[in-house]
Amino acid sequence: MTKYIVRRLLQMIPVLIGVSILVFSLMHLIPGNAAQIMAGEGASPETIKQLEEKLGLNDPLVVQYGKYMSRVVQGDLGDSIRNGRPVIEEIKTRFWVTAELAIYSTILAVFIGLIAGIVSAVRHYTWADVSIMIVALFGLSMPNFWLGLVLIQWFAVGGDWLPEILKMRPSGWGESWRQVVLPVIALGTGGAAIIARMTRSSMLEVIGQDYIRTARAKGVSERVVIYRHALKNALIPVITVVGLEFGAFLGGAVITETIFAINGMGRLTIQAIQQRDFPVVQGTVLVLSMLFVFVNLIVDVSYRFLNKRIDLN
Amino acid sequence: MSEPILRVNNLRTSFFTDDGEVKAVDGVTFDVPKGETIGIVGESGSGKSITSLSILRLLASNGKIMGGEILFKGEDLVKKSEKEMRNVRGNAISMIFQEPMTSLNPVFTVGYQISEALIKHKKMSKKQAHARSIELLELVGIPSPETRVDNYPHELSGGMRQRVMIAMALACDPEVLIADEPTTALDVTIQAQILTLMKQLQERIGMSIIFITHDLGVVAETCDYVAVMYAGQIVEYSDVVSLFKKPSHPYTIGLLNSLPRHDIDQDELEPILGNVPSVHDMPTGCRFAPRCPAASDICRAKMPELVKRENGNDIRCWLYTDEWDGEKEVDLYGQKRIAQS
Amino acid sequence: MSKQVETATPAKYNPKLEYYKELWRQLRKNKAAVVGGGFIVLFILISIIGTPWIGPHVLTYAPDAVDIPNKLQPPSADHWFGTDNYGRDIFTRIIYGMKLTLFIGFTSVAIGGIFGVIFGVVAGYFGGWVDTIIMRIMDVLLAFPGILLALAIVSVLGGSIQNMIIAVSIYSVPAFARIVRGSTLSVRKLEYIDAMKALGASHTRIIFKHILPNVMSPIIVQATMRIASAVLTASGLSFLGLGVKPPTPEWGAMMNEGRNFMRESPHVIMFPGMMIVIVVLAFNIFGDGLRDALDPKMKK
Repeated sequence: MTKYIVRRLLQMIPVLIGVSILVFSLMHLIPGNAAQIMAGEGASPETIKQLEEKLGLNDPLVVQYGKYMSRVVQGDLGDSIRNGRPVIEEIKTRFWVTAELAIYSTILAVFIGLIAGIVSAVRHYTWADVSIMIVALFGLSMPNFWLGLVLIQWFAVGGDWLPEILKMRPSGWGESWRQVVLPVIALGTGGAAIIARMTRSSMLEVIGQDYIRTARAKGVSERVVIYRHALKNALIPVITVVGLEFGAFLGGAVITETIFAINGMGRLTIQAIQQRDFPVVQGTVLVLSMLFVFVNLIVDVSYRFLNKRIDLN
Repeated sequence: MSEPILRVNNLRTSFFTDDGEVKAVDGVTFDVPKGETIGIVGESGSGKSITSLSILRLLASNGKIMGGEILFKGEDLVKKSEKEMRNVRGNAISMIFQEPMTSLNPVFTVGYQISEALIKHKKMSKKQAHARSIELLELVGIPSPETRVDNYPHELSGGMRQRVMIAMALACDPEVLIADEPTTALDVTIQAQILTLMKQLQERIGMSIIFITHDLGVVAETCDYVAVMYAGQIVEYSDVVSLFKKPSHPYTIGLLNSLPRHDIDQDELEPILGNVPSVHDMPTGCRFAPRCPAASDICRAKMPELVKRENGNDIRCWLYTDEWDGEKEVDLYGQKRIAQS
Repeated sequence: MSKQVETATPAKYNPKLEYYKELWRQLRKNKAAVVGGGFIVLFILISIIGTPWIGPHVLTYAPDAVDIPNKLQPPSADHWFGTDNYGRDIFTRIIYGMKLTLFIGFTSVAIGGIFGVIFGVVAGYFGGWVDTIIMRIMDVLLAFPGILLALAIVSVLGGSIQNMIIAVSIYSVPAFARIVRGSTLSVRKLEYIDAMKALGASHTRIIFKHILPNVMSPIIVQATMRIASAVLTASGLSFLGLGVKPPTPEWGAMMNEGRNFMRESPHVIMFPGMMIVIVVLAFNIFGDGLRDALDPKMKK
């Protein structure tokens, strides 16, 4: 097991390097003069020149990347070109806001998704199954920004929650459950739908296995057959999906935070893009991706841990 | 024949698919004598496995018993509630399956899987059940059972797993053991070991065995009685000696004939021509008629009944009835049979 | 290259044709596929209406006809889906937006699919270091959570239809590559592929004649599902103001514009949003149906 974890950690390195190269290249993919674009149209040649110096845009690419990386490993993600503050500081204050949003959404998605998927599988081809699967299809097909806006319209405007929800607080968010619940629903619904569908099909596949028939032939109750024999096997593939959904939530936070005016990394990213503050964009994209890679590692390891008994090799 | 412990009477089981009802078992009748072994033989798709699953009511969700009785010690299993059935399964009647590789749950230890039935039916504590599991593993000839009991299925070979399956099935001293092709997936040497083991255990415990197989060689070795199934029906039911000595039904003769033998002089194997009829296109008459070398008009027009003959065996064939309208003497796969006898 | 061989095979049995015939048979039996497919056909018809050649003759309003006095009108007989903050008819704009949505969905999935399939087949077929490198690159692309990669690409390239298609295509590549690689690996292991190699068939021939036809089913299913997620991603980018820019009647962009007025006039976001749901839903349903039809194992 330790060997596996070490191997996975080593495998992470090329991926992280790849991610850093891609993130680094972002600024160089900007068509035309990057400094000019970042500085804005009215900028004087001196300002542009200064910016070029500051960002080191005149060095050869390899040197630039080397410098970038050596700063990144020291925890220096550069400074915002709008307010001059270190990017890492900007991210620090917002990191947990986004992480919490993604974690709560994952909890919601897993909770609802598992229950719905199991009910669907156990009662498959009944009205309960059909309605759950129809709802899941809608959940899967709904843009989270639309769902967010609809929720605001229904609950916030109708229920007078809006001032509370959209009120900005220095600490970010989460001072009342009302601030938390709608964004989490908006973000988590799609994932819940995906997990429900995955759980259902996984359960159905497992229920058709020979060992389920064996369990029934022993005379144990249907509850034991489903919740002990089937579920334990069916959950294994679902774990991978949960990891992927967490990533989708990190990305989706960009939209949800914008709609609900949550001061997290997603909103920071969008604002930075709008202000062409590319060091900040690079920083948030890098941090979010690294978080996702790390979560995937945890998922892989736990998958391996649960699955080692099945692994025939 | 001793008193039957299980009687299957006119059992009919259907599956409901997108293409409509499929009558997988269509009027099957046979007795299981106490303490003896009955073989159910047939090609795949003949309904033999469905028959065995019907007895324990373990059919897939789209399968349903449409009629008939399954009398176990006088009680009809078809009429029992699901809860009552659960008290029968793994207790008085238990079952082992064809695929030892997939029939054990990969995420539980074998000890846990054996214990389950003991805890449920014998009301044992976990500890007692664990101890009993070790005894059972020893009984089925697994070396160092104290350590094996905590193994997961993937840590055991196919033959070992089938032994575990047998241990599981015997946990509650069943009166009837249904074995659905228990050796098909195993190597020949392991096959022989498992068959010997089953025989020994039968003598010790005194249970009856229903042995589902497509392998006539296995039948000859293990069974006291044989039911031959074809297209969802029993076509011949006989004691094992007369079946191999003088089979009556053309299908049985054909089956035996396609078996290489060294005790008699065989010029060449003569296969049964044609295919098993499709479930959606069953012949109106005898289901074997399209492939039968002796089929006459009545065979194609009317379904024969399963009738008891003088020697106590059952046969479903017009050839041996008074209504036979074909040749007096027919040649079936190189063997002569006299009609209406 | 393979032209001659193709004509040499007897006309009576064409495995490719049989495949599509069987697929068609299975699809017609599948309710989900029929419903989803019907909707997709309807969408295509709507996009044809929403062209400058047909639209003006059929629709009362022009998509960009500003009518300030009638701004933010709720749905009525005159304006079925109401009007937006410039008094433009939302129904008309939605009709005109359909072809954009489909175009972005289809092209980005086609481009992403082609590259993904190439990468996947090459990785799975040749294995070794080629496989390692390609799949590591795919891992890198997958390391960006959700929409973030597409977002980053559009943010540097700038918002336009082309750039958005590029972003969404790149986002789709790894999913195809992974699936195709897996299927290629399992096909490559089959004995007849070895036999083909022993007979001296070239790599291209084996890939095109034997590997690709065998991995077609998962590709088709994946493509359908991917169109659904491409539409979601693209409209999300436009909603954030990073993709297609106003006044183009792209649904996400329409919602972005309408956001500020939604409290008093919720219809400005409801209708475009509902259209996205319907389109995505149709492709998802069709994909489900396709998968069931193509994968007999899943059928009960």
